[in-house]
Amino acid sequence: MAKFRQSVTDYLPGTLAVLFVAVVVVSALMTLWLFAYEQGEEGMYFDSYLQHVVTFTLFQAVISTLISLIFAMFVAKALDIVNFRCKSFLLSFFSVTFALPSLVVVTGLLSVYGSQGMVAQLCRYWGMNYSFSIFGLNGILLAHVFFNFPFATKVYYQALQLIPNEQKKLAQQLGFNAWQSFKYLELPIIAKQLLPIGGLIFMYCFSSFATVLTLSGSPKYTTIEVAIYQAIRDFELSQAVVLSLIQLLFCIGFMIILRLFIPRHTPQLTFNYAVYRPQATILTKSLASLVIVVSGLFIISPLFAIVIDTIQYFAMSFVTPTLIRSLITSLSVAFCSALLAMIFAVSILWTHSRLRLMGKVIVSDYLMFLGSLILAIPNMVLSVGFFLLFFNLVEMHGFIFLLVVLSNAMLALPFILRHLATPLSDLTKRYHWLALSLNISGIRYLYLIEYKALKRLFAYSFAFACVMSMGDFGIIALFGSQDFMTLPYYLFELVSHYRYQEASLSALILLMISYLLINLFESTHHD
Amino acid sequence: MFRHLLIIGFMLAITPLAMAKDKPVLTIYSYSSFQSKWGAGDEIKQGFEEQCDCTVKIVGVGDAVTILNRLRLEGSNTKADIILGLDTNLISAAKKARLVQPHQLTKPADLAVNWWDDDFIPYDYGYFAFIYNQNNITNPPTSLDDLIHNQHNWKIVYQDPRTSSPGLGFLLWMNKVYGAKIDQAWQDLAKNTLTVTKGWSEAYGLFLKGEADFVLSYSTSPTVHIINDNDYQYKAAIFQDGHYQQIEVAAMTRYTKQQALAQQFLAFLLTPNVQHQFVEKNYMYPSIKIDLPKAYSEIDSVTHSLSFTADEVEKYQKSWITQWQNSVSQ
Repeated sequence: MAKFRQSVTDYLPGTLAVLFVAVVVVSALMTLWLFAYEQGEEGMYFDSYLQHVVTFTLFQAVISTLISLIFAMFVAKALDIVNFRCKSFLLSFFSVTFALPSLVVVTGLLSVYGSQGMVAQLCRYWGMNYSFSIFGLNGILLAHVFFNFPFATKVYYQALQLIPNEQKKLAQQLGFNAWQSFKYLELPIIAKQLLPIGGLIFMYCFSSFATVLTLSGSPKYTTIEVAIYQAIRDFELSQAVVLSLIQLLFCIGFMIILRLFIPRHTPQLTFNYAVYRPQATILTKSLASLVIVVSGLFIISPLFAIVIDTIQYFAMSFVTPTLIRSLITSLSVAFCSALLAMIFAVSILWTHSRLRLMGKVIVSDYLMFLGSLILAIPNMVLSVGFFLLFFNLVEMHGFIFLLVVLSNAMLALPFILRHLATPLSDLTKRYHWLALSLNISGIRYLYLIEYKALKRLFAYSFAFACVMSMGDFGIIALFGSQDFMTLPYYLFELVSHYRYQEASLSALILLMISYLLINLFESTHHD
Repeated sequence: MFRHLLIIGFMLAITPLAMAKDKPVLTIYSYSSFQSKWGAGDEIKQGFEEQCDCTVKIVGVGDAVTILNRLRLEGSNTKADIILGLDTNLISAAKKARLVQPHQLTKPADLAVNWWDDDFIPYDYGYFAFIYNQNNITNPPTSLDDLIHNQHNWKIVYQDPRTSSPGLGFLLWMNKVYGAKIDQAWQDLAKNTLTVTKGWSEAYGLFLKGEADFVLSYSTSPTVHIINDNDYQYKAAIFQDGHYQQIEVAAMTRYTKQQALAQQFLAFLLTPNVQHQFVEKNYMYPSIKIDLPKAYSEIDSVTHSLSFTADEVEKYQKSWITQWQNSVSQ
């Protein structure tokens, strides 16, 4: 009986959270499909253009993912080697790119790499010919790497910090060279942490849409998401469902392939109480510094451009009551979504860690996958599905708010799951039996063991979820939004009334808030 | 967690929605920018409430296509009495889905636009045009062909016809001008195309950033720069062979229970005060003859208007989009 109760408390939280996400996603898709069926829609089509689009989508997603991961490996390693004063300052920029609407990111990138951008102007100043065009495949890759590589770097860097100091010391005593310490210390971490992140980045790039279309230069380079968007607009709902399923299949397929590369037995990561940094040669240090400077410039310069653009044209009249109100709405959405996402994540990981402890690795992986499912479903499809499910509730006060909070929480969930999964499951491996013998369970376990050990990571994940949830409003396009205006929505309204300069202020505020949030939560507990 | 959510959900669901309704409510579905701070919605709502003894409720949903789709999704359960914001390219789809009913109004004598329909009221109109900065372009093109086959290596940015209304307008414009020779024209255009964006905002942003020389927008776009910033550097290139016309329309929904009120509102749309609102806030031309703001006399105006009938659009749109896809992807 005791054993049964134990297993219920172990498995229930994660199962419920995952079921909730899965039910939401599946019911949205099903409603859409049923509606299409009732309407007696004509059949689906899959022409050569779509074939081409699917191929290209897959191609750019794989390449973007690979570049992001490889860059992340180098930069994280470099950050691990060199210690410098502004490191946390630099690192806090690594998490803000996700918060910005693609419109803003594209503008920032153009200010740097465009034909009138900073690089072009520098080149002209030095009398060089600037012929790089941001439009085309390189623009798409540039934007995707800009979005995703900082996130991967951060996660990987955090994982490097969790390599037990004893191992690092041992490696140094044994006189490991760079390759050996990479192979024995870091490669396992890469397999453990970076590959699952790769899955997320792949899904993100696979379903990327507005950025791809803007920077592509031609409809030749586009993603399947644009075909889904088109199908929804043309009201070919069954076509949209089928295309979404294709997208889903590719994402599942990629996850399965990634799984093949993840070794069954990986080293445990622990929380080190002090930072131990092996000594490095001058050459390694200077190389590492160079990598840091270049990557820092890559990330900061477009953000810097956004700041410059705003300051240049700033006027007090830009600060309107609507701006303040939309800022408050955005912040409340962000906090509620982050809280909800954290509750989901901790519940899922609670079960996930215990499943892994019992050796049920495959089941635990499926749990994680179901938790990330929402990333593979196009926004527009979810939006229409939600609308069909809930349109009776549209008029209810606060409903739109709830819906946005819920969908943003589900969108942030995969990312914080990935942040917390490995550290939490390693922690469970270490303390589970001890805690059982001391009769520490439930909320007390959560507080005493998990929270105390990973306070900083929890705080960071919360902040990251906040930052991610400031952004999106696409889900409510159909619902109508009289009183509900978020900051990105406000930005969009400004732009559609030709007020680009005023809109840049909203972009700057989004940027600053994301930066402050990340900083605030990261510095609560410093080494 | 889940249990609590369920309970909250259930409680919310059984909350009675009954509100004290002493006045009839007229519900309007429109695109989101209509009811935003800079939209014409607020003034029009107030103006109509003063004379109708009713409450006007505006629901802003995405863009024109979203209005149409929301109505299709709601079917007979819709609360909308009026839809405002479709353009002439969406009319056939709306009629085919049987979403609207005849307004039974007579054509006003002072109608400024050459278009009248049994179901839809034209409330404003405009022309698609390419905007340029006269500080950079000194010899603007005078025909669509001039632009596409220019020798100056001008970079053009336009919107995707699959995702944007101006984009669709441009597709129709090109087909009107080139007819059977459209394939070649698309391929030639592709050589001078900087990029094709999802929506108007991205394209216009690229243009303002100086990345593109010409952007597809409206012939009245320069007035916005004049009115907002007193900025005269942006101009619309006026083409001798004409510009494709976009007419924005409103209609009474098929399932409305407020027919008289809805009809009254549609008539109200064609009164001078409301028309001024559209001119000032939608930056479009009024559909009845009124005096225009000064900025409108300071821009170049379109001399020749092009259009297809709603049925032609419905019939060919899909194949034209496929044709565009294939030609520009080569």
